[in-house]
Amino acid sequence: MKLMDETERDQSLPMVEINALRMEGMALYERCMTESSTAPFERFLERHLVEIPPPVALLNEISDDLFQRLQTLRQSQFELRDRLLYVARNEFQVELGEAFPLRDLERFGYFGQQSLNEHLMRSLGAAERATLIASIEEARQAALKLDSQRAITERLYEGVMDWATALHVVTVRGQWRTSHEPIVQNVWSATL
Amino acid sequence: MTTTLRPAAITLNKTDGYLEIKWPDDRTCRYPLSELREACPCAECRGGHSRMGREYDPANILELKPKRVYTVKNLELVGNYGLQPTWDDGHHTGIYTWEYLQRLCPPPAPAGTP
Repeated sequence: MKLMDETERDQSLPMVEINALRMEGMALYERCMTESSTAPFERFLERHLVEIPPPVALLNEISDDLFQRLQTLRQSQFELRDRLLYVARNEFQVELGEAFPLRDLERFGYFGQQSLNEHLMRSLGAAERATLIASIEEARQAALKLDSQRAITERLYEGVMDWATALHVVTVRGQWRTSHEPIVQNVWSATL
Repeated sequence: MTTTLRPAAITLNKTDGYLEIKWPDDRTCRYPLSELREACPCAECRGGHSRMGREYDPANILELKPKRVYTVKNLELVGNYGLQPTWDDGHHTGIYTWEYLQRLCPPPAPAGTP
C-alpha cells in the first residue's frame, strides 16, 4: 500500500503550516539566545528532518529568518564599535580604530585591556582615562554578548543551509528516479 | 557553507568607478560604485532594522538609478564576512556581506559587448 504520494503532499503543504512552524522555530531560536545554547533549535530541526518528504520549503524559510537575525547582529556589532570610536574621537581625542580593527570585528570583545591602558596612558589624564576605560569596558561586555549570539546564530544558519542543500539534492534525486520510467510503453509488437 | 563564499580577490578601481570581486569559483563580478551605493543594505538606507539586509533585492543592480555619481573614500574588511565602504557622502554604516554581494553580481555582458 502506498502511504502517501510525496509529490502531492509537498505541493499541498499549506503555507499556514509553514508559517506556524517558522514561528515555532524562531521562538526556539530566542530560547537559544537566552540559554546560550543551540540545543532547543537543533531538537526542533531534528524532529522535522526525518519527515517524508523532506521539508525543504520550511528549511528555506527558516534559513531566511536566521540570515536576517545574523545580519542584524552583525550590524549591531558594527554599530557598537562605531559608537565607541566616535565617542573616543570626539570627546577624548583618542583614535581607537587600530586598537579595535574592523577586520577583527568578531574579536572586539576579547582584546586585552592592558595594552589598551598603555595606549591610553600616553594621551589622557587619569580622570579622562578612567571615564574612557569605563566606556570601553561597557562596550566590550555588550560586544561579548553580541558575539556569543552571533556565533550561535551563525552555527544554526550554516546548519540549516547545509541540511536544506542536502535534502534538496535528495528530493531532486528521488523525483528524478521516479520520473525515469520506460519512455516507450504499451508498444505493440509482433513477430512475423 | 558561508566560508566558501569568501572572495579570492577584491579590487577597488576609483578611477573607473567600480569594485571587482573574484570568487573562488572563478566567477568575477564588477559592481559600478554608484549603483552599489544605491543598493546599500543598512537599516538607515532600507528604512528600518526589520527590513535590513535582504529587503533590497534587485534582480539586476545595473537597473538601479543612482541619484548621483558616488565614489568610495575607504574600503575595509568587516570580520570574515563582508566589506564596509565609506562613501564620499559620508555614509559608512552599510555592511555588504559576501552573500549579498554574490546576489548583487551583475549579469555578464552579452557576447560582443566591449
